[in-house]
Amino acid sequence: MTASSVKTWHWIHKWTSLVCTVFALLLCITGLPLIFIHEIDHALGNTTDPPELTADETAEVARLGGRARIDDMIDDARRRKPGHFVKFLSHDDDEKDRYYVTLGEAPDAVKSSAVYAYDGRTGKMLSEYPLDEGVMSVIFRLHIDLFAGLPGMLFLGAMGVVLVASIVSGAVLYAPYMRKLVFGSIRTRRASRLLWLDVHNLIGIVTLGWFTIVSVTGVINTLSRPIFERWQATHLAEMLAPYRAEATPSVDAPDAVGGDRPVGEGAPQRALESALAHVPDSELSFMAFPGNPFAGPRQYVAFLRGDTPLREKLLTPVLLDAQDGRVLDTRELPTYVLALLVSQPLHFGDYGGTPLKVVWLVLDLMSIVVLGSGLYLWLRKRNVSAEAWRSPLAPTEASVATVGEGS
Amino acid sequence: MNDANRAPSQAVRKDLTTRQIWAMPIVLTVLSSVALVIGLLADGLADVVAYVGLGIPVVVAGWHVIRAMRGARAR
Repeated sequence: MTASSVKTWHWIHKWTSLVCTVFALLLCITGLPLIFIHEIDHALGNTTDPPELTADETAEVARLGGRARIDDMIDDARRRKPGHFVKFLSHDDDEKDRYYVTLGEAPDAVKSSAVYAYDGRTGKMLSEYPLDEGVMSVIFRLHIDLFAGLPGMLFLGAMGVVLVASIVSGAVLYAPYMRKLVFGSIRTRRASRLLWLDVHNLIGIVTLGWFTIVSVTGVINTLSRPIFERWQATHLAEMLAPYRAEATPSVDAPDAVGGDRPVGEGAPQRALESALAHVPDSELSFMAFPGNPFAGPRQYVAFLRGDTPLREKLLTPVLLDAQDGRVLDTRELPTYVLALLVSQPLHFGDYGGTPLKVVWLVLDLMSIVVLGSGLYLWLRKRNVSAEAWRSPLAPTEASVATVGEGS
Repeated sequence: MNDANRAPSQAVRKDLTTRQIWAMPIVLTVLSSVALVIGLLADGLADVVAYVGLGIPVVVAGWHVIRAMRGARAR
C-alpha cells in the first residue's frame, strides 16, 4: 500500500466514522438489552409460560388431539376487542405451546391494538402483551426507527451502510498501523493515545467478522418493509390474481370475513389444517387474516416453517380460501425475502441458546469500546495529520514513504 | 528506540511481513464468521461451535488486554 492510499483510507475511515459513530453507539447500547428481550419480557411479566396442566386437563387435551383449536383463540380475542380485526395468528418458535393473536382497528392497520398470548394445548388466554409502554418499548423504538417510522428505519439503515464502510476502511488501515507491532500489542507505558489506539486496533480487528455481519444484517432488517411490500406487489398479487373478481364485494364489507362474523364456522382451523397437510413436515409460523397486506381480501396466507433448524427460518406461504379453508396456491419466497429471513437470526443472535446471547452481549460491549476509543482518538488528535499519527509507531523510520511498503 | 518502555515482544525493529500482520486477524475473522453461520444451520453441537467459535476472538483479545494491564502494573 502506498503512502497516498493510506492517506485516502485514513480520510475515509475518519469521515465515515464521524458520520455514523453517534448512531452506531446508540444502536450498540440499545441493542444490549434487546439481546435478552425475551428474558426481560418474561421477568417483567409481559409474557408467561404455559402452566403445568392437572391430570384432568392433560386427559382433556389428549382427548381433543393434543392441540387447541385456533378458532377458540381467535373467537376469544375478538370478544376481548369488539369491533377490532384479527391481523395475525402467530406461533412462538421457542415456546411451541404458545400462540399469539394480534388485532388492529382495521384489518390492514400498521399499528396493532392488542396482542394476546394463548396456551396451544388448552386454548386459554395466558397474557396480554403490553404495546407501546415501558422502558423496553422505548429502547426498541430507538433501536428500530428512532420513533420516526419507515423514514427512521431507512435512516438507520443508511447509517449502517456508513458503519460498514467505516469497519472496512478500519480493517484496511490495520496493516499500516501494525507494521511494527506484534498482534495483540498494547503499549501501556507510552502516551495514553497510543494505548487507546492499540486497544482500538486489537478489539476492532478481533470483532471484525461479528461486527460486519451484525451491521450488514441490521441494514437488511431496516429494509424489511420495502422487501415485504415488493413481495406483496409481485408474488402475492400474482397468487391472488385469479381470485380478484370474486373478491370485490368484500372491499365493501370486509367485516364479513375479518370481523365478528367470519364466513363459515371454523374457517381458520380448517384453513390451517389444509395448509399443514399441503406442506409436509411443517408447522405454523404465522397466519395473515383477510384484508391484511400479507393476505388476500377473502384469503388467508399461512406462513409455514420447516422442522429443521435452517428450514425453520425459511417460510413457505400458502394461500387459503377463507370461506372453505382449501389451499389455493403456494409459491416459494423469492431470494430477497429469504435473505431478510436469514438476516434476522444473524442480527439478533437468538439461535444458539443463552451461551450465544452472552457471547453476543460481550461482542456488543467490545464494539462499544471500539466506537468509544475511536471517538476518543479523534477528539485527542483531530488537528494532527495522518503522517503525524503514524510517526510514533515507527520510531526508527518515521518517514511516510516506508509505511505500508510491500503490502 | 527506547526498548525499556515496551512490554517484551511487542514492537519490532524490522517491518512485519503481510502474512505476519494478517495471520491472526484472518484466522479469527474466518473462525467467527464460519461459527456464526454453522450455528444457524443446525442445533445441538452446531450451537456449541457457534458460541465457542465466536468466543475465541473474545478470549484472545481479553488475554492480551489482561496481559498488558499486568505488564503495566509490574513495572
